Amino acid sequence: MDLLTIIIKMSEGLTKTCAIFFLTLIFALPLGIVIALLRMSKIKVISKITQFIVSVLRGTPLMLQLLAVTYGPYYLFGFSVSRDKLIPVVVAFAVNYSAYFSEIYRSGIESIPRGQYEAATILGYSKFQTFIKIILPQVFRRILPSITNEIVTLVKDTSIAFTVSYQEMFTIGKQIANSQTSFTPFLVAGVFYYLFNAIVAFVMGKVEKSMNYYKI
Amino acid sequence: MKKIIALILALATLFCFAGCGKKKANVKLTIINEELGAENYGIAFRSEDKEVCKYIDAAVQELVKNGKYAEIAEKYPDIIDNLLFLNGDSKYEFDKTVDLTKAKKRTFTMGIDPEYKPFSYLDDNGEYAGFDVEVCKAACDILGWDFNVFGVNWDQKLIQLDAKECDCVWSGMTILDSMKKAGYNISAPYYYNTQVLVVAEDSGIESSKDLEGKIVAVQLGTSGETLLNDDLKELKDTFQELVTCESFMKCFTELEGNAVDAVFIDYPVAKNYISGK
Repeated sequence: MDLLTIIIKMSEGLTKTCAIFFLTLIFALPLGIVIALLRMSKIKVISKITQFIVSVLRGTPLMLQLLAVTYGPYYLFGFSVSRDKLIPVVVAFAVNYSAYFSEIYRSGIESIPRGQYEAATILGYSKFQTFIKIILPQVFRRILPSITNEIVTLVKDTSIAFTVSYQEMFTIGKQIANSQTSFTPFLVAGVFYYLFNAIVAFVMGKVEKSMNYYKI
Repeated sequence: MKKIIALILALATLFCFAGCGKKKANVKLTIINEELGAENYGIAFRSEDKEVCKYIDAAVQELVKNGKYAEIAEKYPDIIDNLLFLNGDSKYEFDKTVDLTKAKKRTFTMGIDPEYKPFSYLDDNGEYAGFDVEVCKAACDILGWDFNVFGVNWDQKLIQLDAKECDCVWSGMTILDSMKKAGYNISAPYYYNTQVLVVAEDSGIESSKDLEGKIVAVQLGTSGETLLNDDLKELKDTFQELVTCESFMKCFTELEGNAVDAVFIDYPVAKNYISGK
């Protein structure tokens, strides 16, 4: 098998890798805000429970959570295992990443000085308006570098989906490496991941620039 | 209050994990009586280890002669019929000049797939067991070598062999032409294997022709996977999807959980799994 065939074969898997990546971001980024707000809730019970859930999600391996989401319902209740593996994979990834994102959001929200809330109240903003129009844009600008960090990790973590037999790019690479007794597919995979992350870094850099207006 | 909540949640988690340990065994599996690929098992050594390969071959022949080989095989009724040295089907020409007494003392590390019952697996005591492991141990005894076991990552077994993490791959491994071409020393074939399909009993699948539009699972790095991408490509193209799993146990979990319709796997492993349930 020549290099071009390997690249074409692995590109087919790349669409599945991208599917995990984008769907995870779409669900995890908003879910992170919700978890961050629950975590900062004034009601102690809610805040404590959220804190515990976040600590479990961060404290156990993603691979384990992936297995639990995919095969857990089968072992516990005898439900059949999902035929489209993308669903459990995205659920596990989104929940796991939202836990990390929530802590990043919290650090951002808590870094906004108290005075801004007071000023907004005097100017007649409601609590909700203050949060959406004044606080959140600044939070986003501040936490972008940390978010980029997580997103870059996410790109590489997609290869964990192989644990539940999801046929993403790296799995296909391993298949080729096996049947051809060759190391080339791993090199190709490395280049693919690097390019993917280079694009991510470039896009996030642009986003950061466009939000400079909110920089304090 | 905080502590109580934490305690309750911790208990709930524990309960969930305990539930995971229970094995659902209500799905009846069956092997389809159709041989889809015939092949031989052998042992792979590094290209520079020609001598080691000859010594092991000769030591195994010694075991066959003194009856120890048959003794070990008796313990594994699932595979005994297809052992080439016992049923007289071996046509391999051995190097008769090898002198077992001349083997220099060394440590011999055997590379196995620790999840490949009955050839190699972790037994209930957490020790490596299985037909291949026992034969290797006995062969090492004859040669006076120190015996050691290393669990390889099956889809990277040859890379790990080259990296000298182990001295051979000996774990129900099919001899492929690509291995010989890549320069590995291959021992005498010792087991005749066929690839079979395992399906749920009530699935209505009776032969490989019924697999059109179905999802089939295979273990990554096994000869079954190679076969489906090579000689059986036409069959594979009728599938809806071919799913590769990291171990055959996962293949069976997928099958029992109804995520796939069939598992393509080596016959002895399938037989052992189904009879062991």
